[in-house]
Amino acid sequence: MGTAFGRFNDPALLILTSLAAAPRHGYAMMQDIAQFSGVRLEPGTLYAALTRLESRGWIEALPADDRRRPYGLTAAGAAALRDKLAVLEAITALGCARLASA
Amino acid sequence: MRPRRSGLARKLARACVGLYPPVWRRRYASELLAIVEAHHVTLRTLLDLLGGALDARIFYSTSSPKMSPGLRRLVSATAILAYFVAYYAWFTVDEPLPSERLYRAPVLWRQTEGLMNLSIEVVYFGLIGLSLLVGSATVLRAWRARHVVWAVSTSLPTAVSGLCGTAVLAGAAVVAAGAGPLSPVLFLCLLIGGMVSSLASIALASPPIRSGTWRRLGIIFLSLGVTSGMALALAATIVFAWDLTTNGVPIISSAGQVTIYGAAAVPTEGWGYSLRPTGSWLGNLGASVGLAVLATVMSVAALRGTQRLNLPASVD
Repeated sequence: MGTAFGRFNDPALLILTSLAAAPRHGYAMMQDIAQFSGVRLEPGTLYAALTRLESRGWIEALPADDRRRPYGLTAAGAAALRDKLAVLEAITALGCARLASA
Repeated sequence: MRPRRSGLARKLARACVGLYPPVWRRRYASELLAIVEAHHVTLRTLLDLLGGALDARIFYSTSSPKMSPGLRRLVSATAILAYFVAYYAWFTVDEPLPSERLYRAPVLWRQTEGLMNLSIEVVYFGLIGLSLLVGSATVLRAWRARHVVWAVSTSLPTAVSGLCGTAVLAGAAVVAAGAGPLSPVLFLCLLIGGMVSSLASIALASPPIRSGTWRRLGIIFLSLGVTSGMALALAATIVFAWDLTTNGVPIISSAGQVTIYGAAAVPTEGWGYSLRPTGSWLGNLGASVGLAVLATVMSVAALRGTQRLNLPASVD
């Protein structure tokens, strides 16, 4: 994910995590992400990451509700999220172990 | 959702959304505007939207698989055009004038020199601009206006980068040689920049090189080449127009004087001596016109290949 998304790596991870619970539109994503991570994404960053995620087929646009279009996680997106979380878990475990032995 | 806020910040935010590329706006603008209307717009929001607009333009001009083939064809055609123009101009401008020693009558040499300079300005500079103008007109006629807008908007980042590169070249020429804005040194820098960068862009745009980094590098090289070529054509057209305005009558009279001097010298100097000056400038002019016509035909042929661009479905 890092190579493909560059500086939008973290927003992409947050968006995938948000959509793993349920399909959401952009503003609902921003609120959900702020709630579970404390990160307040701005609209420009959100849609830069959304554009990339959709072009890679990791999320899909669902039928629009008025002007607000919800997005859902695809199977490929779920797999990518699992891979990324596994890496983060390994890093977390290693970091905790090294801190404990320090 | 938060209550709507009105005011300058929200208007600026809407203006920022307008800076996104048209293709992006057709797909995402409505939902992004809905968020902006519900969002607490701050300076950070405006800067974020500006960065998002720039990112979208770069993303759509370099990474969108739907636009890549068309953009690649456009890149190749313009790179070939820029290279051909630069190559042609380099060798023709570099052609030395006949030595003064060949003309025992100084006035005859001076008049011949003036006509050679005229042929350089008229043919080398003026027709370079003409060939580019004909090519551009062909594209404009082939494309509908919105396609042209699409092409220009998606290539904006590359054009800006190319303009910056050309500005650096021009600045270096002025600093290094104390050159004026229309000096031969600047022309030389533009020619070299156009040749080198166009060759590099053609090489990097070749099918085996498809990775994003190399492709972006190729587009930057291309921008430099095309912008150099366009700057050269613009400057040359200005020089040509200026020279015709200020020296039109003397130049025309020079042609008559050279012919008269040459004819008067036939009895004493022979036909070879007499025909050489006239033959020099007439031959130079004829060969250059032929090359310029060839360049124009090739430019049009290359650019016609871009008529069937693989435009995204949303454009139509």
